[in-house]
Amino acid sequence: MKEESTKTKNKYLMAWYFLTIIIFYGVFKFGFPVIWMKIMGRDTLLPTPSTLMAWYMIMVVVCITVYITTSDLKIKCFVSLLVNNKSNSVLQSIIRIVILVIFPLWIGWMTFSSTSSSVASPTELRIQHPTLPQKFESLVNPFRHESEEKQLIAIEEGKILFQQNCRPCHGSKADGEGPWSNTFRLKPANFRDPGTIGTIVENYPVWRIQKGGPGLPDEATPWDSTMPPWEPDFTEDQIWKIIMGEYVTADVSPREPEVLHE
Amino acid sequence: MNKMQNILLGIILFAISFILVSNLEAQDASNGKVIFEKRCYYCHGLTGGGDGPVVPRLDPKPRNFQDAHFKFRTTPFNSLPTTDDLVRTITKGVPGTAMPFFSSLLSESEIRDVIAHIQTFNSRWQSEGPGKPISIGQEPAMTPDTINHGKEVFDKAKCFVCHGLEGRGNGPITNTLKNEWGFQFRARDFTKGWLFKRGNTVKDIFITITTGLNGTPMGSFADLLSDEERWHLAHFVKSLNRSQAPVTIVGGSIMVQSALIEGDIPLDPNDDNWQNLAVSTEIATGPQLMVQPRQWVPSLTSITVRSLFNKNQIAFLLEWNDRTGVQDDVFKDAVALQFPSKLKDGMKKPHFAMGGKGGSVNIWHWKSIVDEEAKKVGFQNVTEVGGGDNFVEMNAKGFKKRPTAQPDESQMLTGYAAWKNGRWQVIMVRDLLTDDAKDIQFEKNKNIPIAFASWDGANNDLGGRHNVAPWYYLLLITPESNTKFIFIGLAVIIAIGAELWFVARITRRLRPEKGFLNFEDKGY
Repeated sequence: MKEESTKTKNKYLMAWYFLTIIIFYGVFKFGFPVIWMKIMGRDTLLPTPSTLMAWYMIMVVVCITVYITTSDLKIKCFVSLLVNNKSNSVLQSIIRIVILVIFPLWIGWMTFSSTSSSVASPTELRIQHPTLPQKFESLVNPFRHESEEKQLIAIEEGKILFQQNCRPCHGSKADGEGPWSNTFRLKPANFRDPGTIGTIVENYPVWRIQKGGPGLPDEATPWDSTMPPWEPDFTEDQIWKIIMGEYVTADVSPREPEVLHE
Repeated sequence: MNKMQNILLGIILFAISFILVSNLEAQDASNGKVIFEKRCYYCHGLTGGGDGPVVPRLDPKPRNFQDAHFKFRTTPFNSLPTTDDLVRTITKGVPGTAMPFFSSLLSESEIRDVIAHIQTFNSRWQSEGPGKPISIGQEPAMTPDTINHGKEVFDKAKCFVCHGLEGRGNGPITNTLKNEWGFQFRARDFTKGWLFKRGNTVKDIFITITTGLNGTPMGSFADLLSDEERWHLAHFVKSLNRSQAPVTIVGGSIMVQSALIEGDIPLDPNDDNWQNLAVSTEIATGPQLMVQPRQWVPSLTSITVRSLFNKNQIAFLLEWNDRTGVQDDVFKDAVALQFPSKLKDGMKKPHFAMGGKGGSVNIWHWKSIVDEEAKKVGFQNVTEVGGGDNFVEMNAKGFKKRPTAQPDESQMLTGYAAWKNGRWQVIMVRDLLTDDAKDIQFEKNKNIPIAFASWDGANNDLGGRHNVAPWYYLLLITPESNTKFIFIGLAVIIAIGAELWFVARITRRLRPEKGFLNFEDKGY
């Protein structure tokens, strides 16, 4: 009796095989985005990247194929579903026909989708933090050695310059939500995000403000950047003031330069 | 003794609590003052006069709290708003203006502290206090009937005088509108719902119609129209929110699709092929801030683009809302498309602001030519047909030099332009391929970078003072050829064949007499 039941179950091995693949596909495609959204505490779904998706599916298929080929019996059971046998149950016949019909349709669909031209936008890879050019590396903020009072005045002047010139895109809160932030395709940087100006030394923004988008290296897609080159508009002192005002407005502080012991 | 002690203790406790409570109240406004002087004064001014250092670069101007005229109230016209009204404005911000949303930075109690400080700028807050909120009642369901009735109310109340017949804020007196402080004022463009300052729900619109906007020509209609009429008018206004929000706001595709058309390209923008065959994409435009002269106070917000091509030619229909159509000999309405002069491999492009060290660009520029005849009728129907001097092909390489027009023999661009009811429609046509080395050559099914610019003469746009959109992609889509279905059929037939062969083979091998299916035999 027990043997009988194992045999009946095994006869559906191929059906279980495809069902497992479909279930795992569903989990990766629809389950993971929800799970990762919950874990990372985000508001939007985090879809599984298509290359990762392909790897996950390859792993799943390899694993269950290995399982099926562990014995001759399993292989036999696996293919036996395709054989028209008088002793087959109605369910077996239905599954058999469904598999036989779906396979060519699936091949046809694959051919169709690989030959049709899609209107997907091209992938644009972009390096967010290109390396600071050498000549900006050695700059020193002239206001850091001044008295506290003079620094406060410089910061306030810088905050005003920031509000006048940077606010339209980077926002009056320095959060990258200015009135024109949604207008251009590259969203302006959010300085309140601890991953932006909080992780760089003060010299870095001097380069970005003076040279703007057109001064970026090719890997940072300078052609798409709407950051103006402010060199013609401001003196170096004014730019230092803007940077100090920017850090205060964003409530973050610059990274301290590493000290080399001699 | 004990009794005295208790009384003394009571008096001391009372005094302490009194001091604490009064201190708490004072703390409100003083904490608000600290926040105000860190976050708000750059626009609103240290003493709330709406005169902060950023003001010259703002349109609309920030609120002057000394005047205490507030636009966004739930209280009657000319009264002061409730604290909750102000909390809402500070929390949500005002779309399309410099007023940010503070929900991400300040807690509600901090916002209330700031409001307590704002209320010290004018004595009316002490003498009269906030007005009594209007009763909003139940919002009726929006149906085609209520919208039609709303349209009748729109005509009856003469809303079109400012807002225009099709609601683009282009009414006949729109040029003369001024706010209380003498600044130019423009009536709202109803087609762009995402720019409604109070919000674009029917209820928001109803409140604006009912309470009016203090300090502007938009008065209150509470006494002129019944509650029902105002609800239906709000339905009609909501139904005019028909422009798509730009793709950068709603996250749509950044592809501008060009559709293949049989025969000639129509020069009438209302032709069925333009309206139905061509795919429309709304592109957001922002102020040109890359280089002086910058445009800090832009008046145009987006361009709708459609494209068609046939065997020899490609055409673009560019449409944008411009309330006035006003221009003179110097300040003219204009629009431009920009392409790289040469397509490069990979994603490399010239800089979107007129090229630069990454390569030169090809610019197609159209500008309106002042038509004396049209000027007489108030620019309500400027029409220009055909090509001519107002369509110019140019080249540029970086914004340090002015773009140069191509020589006469290279000028191939023609088109059509018209302004009607607050909307420009401009068609540009050129051959797909030309002999000119500085021209963009259009290849099918290939991503071609495309960028946009627009000028509003009435807003003193000229040269660098204009509106821009960075690189998008243009794709000339050829319909799928039928040969592909032969391949698909072939693939399906091969799949069926392979399948049948496989099934036949295992059926043979699994015959019971071969013992393959006979599990017990082998002792499994």
